[in-house]
Amino acid sequence: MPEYPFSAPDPHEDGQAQPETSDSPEPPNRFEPPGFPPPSQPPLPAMPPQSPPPTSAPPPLGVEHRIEVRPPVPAEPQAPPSDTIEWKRPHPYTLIIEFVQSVQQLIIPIAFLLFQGSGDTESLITEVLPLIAVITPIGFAVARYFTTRYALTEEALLHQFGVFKKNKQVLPRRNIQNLSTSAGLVARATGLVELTISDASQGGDITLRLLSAEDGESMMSLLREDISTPATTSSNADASVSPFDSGASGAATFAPPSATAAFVSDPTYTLALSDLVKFRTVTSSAPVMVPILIAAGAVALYTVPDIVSTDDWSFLALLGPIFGVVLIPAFAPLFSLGGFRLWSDPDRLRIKAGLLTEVQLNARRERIQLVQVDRHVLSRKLGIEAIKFETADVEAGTSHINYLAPAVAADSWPVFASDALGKVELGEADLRRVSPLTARRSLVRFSVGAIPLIALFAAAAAIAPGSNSTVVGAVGVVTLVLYVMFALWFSRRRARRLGWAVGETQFLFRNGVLAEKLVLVRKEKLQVLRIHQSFFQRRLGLATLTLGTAGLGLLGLVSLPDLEEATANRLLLELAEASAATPLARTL
Amino acid sequence: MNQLPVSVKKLWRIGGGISGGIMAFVPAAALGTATTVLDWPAVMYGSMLVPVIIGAVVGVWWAGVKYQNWCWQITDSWIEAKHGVVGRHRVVIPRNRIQTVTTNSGPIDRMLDLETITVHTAGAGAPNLTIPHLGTSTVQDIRVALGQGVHA
Repeated sequence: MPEYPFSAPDPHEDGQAQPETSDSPEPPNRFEPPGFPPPSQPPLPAMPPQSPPPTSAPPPLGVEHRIEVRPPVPAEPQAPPSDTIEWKRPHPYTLIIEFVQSVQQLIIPIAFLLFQGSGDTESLITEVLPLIAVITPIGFAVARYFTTRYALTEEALLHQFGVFKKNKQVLPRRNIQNLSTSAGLVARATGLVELTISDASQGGDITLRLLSAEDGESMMSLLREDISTPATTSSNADASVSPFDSGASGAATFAPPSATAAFVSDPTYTLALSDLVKFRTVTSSAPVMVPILIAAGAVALYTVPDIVSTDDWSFLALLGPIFGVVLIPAFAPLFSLGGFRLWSDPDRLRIKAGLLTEVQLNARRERIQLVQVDRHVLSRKLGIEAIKFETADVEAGTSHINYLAPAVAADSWPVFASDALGKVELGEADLRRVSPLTARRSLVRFSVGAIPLIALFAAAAAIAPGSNSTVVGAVGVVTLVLYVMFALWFSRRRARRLGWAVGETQFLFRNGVLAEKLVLVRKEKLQVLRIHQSFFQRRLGLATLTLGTAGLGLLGLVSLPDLEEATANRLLLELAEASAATPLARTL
Repeated sequence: MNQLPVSVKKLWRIGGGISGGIMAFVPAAALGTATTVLDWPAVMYGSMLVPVIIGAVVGVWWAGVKYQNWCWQITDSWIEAKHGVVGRHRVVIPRNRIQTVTTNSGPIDRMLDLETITVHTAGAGAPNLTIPHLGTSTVQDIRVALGQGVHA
């Protein structure tokens, strides 16, 4: 790899050939920059059996005919004739859901009709209008229900819906990549589920609203078998190797799951809600924000005592929304993650979660991109950590329940990671520290952050009347001393905790100080690699390595800051070579 | 490593000069306002041109530095770009990870026979690699080369 010529001489300024802007005729594909591969053509795929060419008019003279040889493309499944399809309708309770949705969508015209019909003047119109307002959503609901139907043939899942605009969806069963179910409170009370079937495209999902439990389960079991068969995009993969065999490149890869995969009945992990409450309490911003808010309020009272009357403590009502802003984000996930269970099926991980609306998620193992362990300096004291994963599935990748375990005993991540990514080669003991200069960079940041803090207390001391200014000044000095002590502790800990390790097939790194993230990714899953150097990083010879996977959520892009520049470049090339040696089909 | 076409340097210098001059309108306006409010000599209105000229010169110089620090290459295994003056970036995408290659060209690009090429990979969070203002024939060659990568 040549060294990067940031000050390389411009090859075009000396009047040499300028291939990009020359007006002279040029042969096609003449551009051959250094390092370009020789223009070799891949071997043509075997010709499929040719049927006799159709008799057609001969081509006009002088027209060169090119024969395009393409690999055989399996024909898209076509919907069988309507009379041979066994169509089904959603459960009749869907009428209620459709009625509620119709009311929501027609709320403005309905309100207008009711308002017009409530006038004092008695006429046929004023009596009929409220009737129309009631009948319209019922009519819409009935029409929607009776125009919605679905069928599962041997080739595809068919779905038809729409009153005015008729929609027909045909999802080939071999393209199905993910199944998920959702059931709200009403649906759970009546034993109904909403089933969403996804392919690799973002707009191709089919949502079957409110099936009976029997229909939903039979549909799920049938479609699960489809997911268990190799997808068309994985045709390059060798179906005979075991899930963690080595690929052609020597890198361990996943094989397509077995078509006869079974489904385990007992969950391998069940969330203890008390652990989740503890974890969310210490990892949210509440432990930091609540003391800060109290301290800020105290300083404000001392600085401007007139803003509060000793008889009127109604200002305390303001604390409600403030604490709500802090606490609600911390504990809202309890509803979505409550009742979390994880099943480890032979070919996938299956997850159910949700106190109110229960969501089920299927994540095929070969599509899981990385595993991330979230822990906090306080949660480590409690011995709890959270384990997340990232998958390339559209439905699962954008789900908010991308957890393997929302709260689990500390240091148990290798068990979950090996279940999701194969045998774990690396442990935290293998981590090598990043550059010790990261502590100096961190101190520079804290120094910059101290400027507004000093300015704030100086202004408060100047404004505060009489002896209060002394108190505010003393609080400022104490705060500054605490700030400096925290900065020193933080910077030293940062240099100790940030680290990385490279194994034969995996890359492990740890980032973060207060909120720590431990990320394990298989090298073959990397899609793009990036190095960034800020101005201060360049001065210290540091660089941030960012790795992109095919993950569709926020975890898809992960970064490790403050590597030594040479180390970052070496890692980038090593990981890029490992990624380039694996066919794309094995990584998605 | 390949640099961008020379015409890009001219394009960026023109753009940098214009944008630098426009950004300098703020201090120029402040100078004019101060001249009016503080009743400075009328000749000071002429000094409003100074920040505009300085801004334009800095913009032209910056564009040249930016051009010098932009380079890219395609190897057997990946496509790579390096750029940045203050903060520096290096992006590497293995060729067999490329999902889509798109190009776009504005009116000025079309006048100069230039195109911007963007390489996309799988994953919503993955950053793309964009090489700006390449010659049309170069872009065509890259597309052919990367097309082989797609089917590898």
